[in-house]
Amino acid sequence: MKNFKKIAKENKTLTIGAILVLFLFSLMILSFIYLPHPPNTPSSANQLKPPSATFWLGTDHLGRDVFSRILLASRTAFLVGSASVVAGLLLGVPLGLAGGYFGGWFDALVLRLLDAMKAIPSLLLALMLISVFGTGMSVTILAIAVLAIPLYARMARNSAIQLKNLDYIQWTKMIGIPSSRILFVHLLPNLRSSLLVTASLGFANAVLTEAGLSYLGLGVQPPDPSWGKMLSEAQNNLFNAPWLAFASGLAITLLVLGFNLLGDGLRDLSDLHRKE
Amino acid sequence: MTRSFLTRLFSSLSTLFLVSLLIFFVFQIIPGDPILSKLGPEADPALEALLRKELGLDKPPMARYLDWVVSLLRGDLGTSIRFQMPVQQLIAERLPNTLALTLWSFFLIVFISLPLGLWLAKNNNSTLGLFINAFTQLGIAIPSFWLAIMLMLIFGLRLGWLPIHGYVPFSKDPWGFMRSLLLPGIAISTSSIAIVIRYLRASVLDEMLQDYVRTARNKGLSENTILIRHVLRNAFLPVLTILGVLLINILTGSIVIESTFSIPGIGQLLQTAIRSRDLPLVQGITLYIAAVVTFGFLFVDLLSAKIDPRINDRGDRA
Repeated sequence: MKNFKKIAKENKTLTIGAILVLFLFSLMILSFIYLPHPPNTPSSANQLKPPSATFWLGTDHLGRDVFSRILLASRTAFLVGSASVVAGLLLGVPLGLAGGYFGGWFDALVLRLLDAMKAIPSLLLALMLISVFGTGMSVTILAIAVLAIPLYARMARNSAIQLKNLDYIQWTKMIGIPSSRILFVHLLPNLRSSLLVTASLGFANAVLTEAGLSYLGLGVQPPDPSWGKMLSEAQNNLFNAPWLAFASGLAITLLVLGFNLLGDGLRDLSDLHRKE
Repeated sequence: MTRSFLTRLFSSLSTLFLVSLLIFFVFQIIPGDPILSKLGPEADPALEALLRKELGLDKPPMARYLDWVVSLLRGDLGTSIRFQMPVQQLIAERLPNTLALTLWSFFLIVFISLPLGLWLAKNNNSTLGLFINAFTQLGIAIPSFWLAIMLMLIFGLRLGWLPIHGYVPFSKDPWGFMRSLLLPGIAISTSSIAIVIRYLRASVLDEMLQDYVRTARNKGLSENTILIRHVLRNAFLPVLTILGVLLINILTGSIVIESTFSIPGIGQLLQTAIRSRDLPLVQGITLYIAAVVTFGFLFVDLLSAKIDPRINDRGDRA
C-alpha cells in the first residue's frame, strides 16, 4: 500500500490515466444498474431539450435522454476496446513471438505481412472490411480486432528477438524443452510490462477507431448506441441544439486520454524498474 | 547510394505486391461469387457460364489475380458500379481537393510544431511548458471530428467568421476556397502537431545530454546557438522518421474530415463508394492510398539516409 502511494505521487501520468479510466469504467458499470431515463425510447414531447434537472445533458432530436445514452454507449466503447485487446493477445502475440523466436522464412513472412498492413492506414483497413461485410456491431468488432493484430505482433516479435539469445533461454533449448513451452512459459512472462503498455495504447486506438467509424455512419448501427454515432447526430442539429455536441465528444476524449496516459505511465514505470 | 536505393525500392515494391494480394483477397475472394448474388440461385446455367466467361471469373484465382495486376499496370483501376466511370478518372477528379487539404495540413504541422517543440525543450520545466505538455496529450486524444465540430460551433456559428459547410471550388473563388479549407486543416493537423511537439521535445532533451553539447557550452557558445546550430541538426532525424506516420495521420484525417465539411475529395468518394457497396471503387481507392503511403515511406527512408549516412540499408542506425 505504501508502495502504491509512492507510485501515485511520483508517476502523475499513470495516476491521472488510471483515475480517468476507472471513472469511465464505473459509469459503464452504472449503466447496468441504473439509467435515469429509457435510452432508446423516442418521445416527441421532449425533442432537443437543453440540459435541465430532469435531463442532465438535454435530449436529442428524437427526445431521448442524452445522459442515459452516454452511459449506454460506454458499453460499446469498452466492448470494442476489450475485443481489440483479446484479439491482440490471442492472435498478435503468438504470431510475433513465433516469428521473432524461430526467425528464418516464417519470420520473413510475418514481417512482410506486418509491413503490408502498415501500408494501409488502419481506418482504411477497417473500411475495407466494412465495405465487404457490411456495417453493424459484429463487423465493427471484427475490423477493430484485425487492426490490433499487427500492433501486438510487432511488439512481441521485437521482444522475442531481444530475449532469445539470453543464456537461460539458450539453456532451456539445450536441455530439450519443446519450443512451444519455451515461447509461452519462458518468453511470454518477460513481456508482461510491454504487453500492459501495448494493451493500454491499443485500447485507446480501438475506442477512437470505433468512434470514427460510427461517426461516418459505417460502424455501429442503431439501435446499438455509440458515442461516435451520437456525435454525428449532434452535428445535424448543431444549429438548434449546440449542447448536444459536447457530452459524447468529451466522453470519447476522456476515455482515449485515460488509456493513453495509463499506457505512457506504465511505460515510465517499467523503464524505471529496468534502470533500478 | 545506388545499391541501397535499389534495395529499398525492391522492398517497397514487394510490400506493394503483398498489399495487392491482400486487397485482391479481400475484394475478389471473400465476397464470394458475384454472378450468383446477381442472378440468384435459380438462374439459367448457360447464362451463368456465359457471364462468368465474359468477366473472366471461370479462371482459377491465380490467373484472375494476374489479369487484374496486368490491367493495373496499364493504369486501369476498374470501373465504378455507381458512377459507371473508370475508377482512375474519378480519383483524378477528386485528387486536387484532397491534395490541397493535405498540403495545407502539412504546412500547419511544420510551422506550428517545430518552433513550439524547440521552445518547449528549452523551457521544459516552466509552468507554461508543463501546460503545453499536458495540452499535447489532449491534442492526441481528441477525435479530429469532434474538434472539427467544436471549431464549426465557435468560428462558424458563434463568431460567424468562417463557413461551416459550403465548399468553394478553387476555379470559382481562390480566396473562398482557402477559407473553406482553413478549419478542416486545423482539425486534421492537431493530433499530428501534438505528436511532433512531443517527439521533438524528447529528442532535443536527449541530445542536450551529449558530450558535444557540453563542449560547446564550455567554448562559451550561447544556449540558443547550441540549440539551433548543433542540437537541432541531430535532434531532427528522429522527427524525420515519423514523417511517414504523419502522412498516414493526414490521409486518415481527411477521410473523416472531408465528410464533416462536405469537401468533395477522395475521402468523401470513398464513403460514397462504401455506402453504395461499389466494391471496384473502394478497391481502387484503397490501392491508390496504399501506394501513396508506401512511396511516402520510401521517400522518408531515402531522405533520412541522405541526411545521416550512418543509417544502413535496413534503416537502422549503425
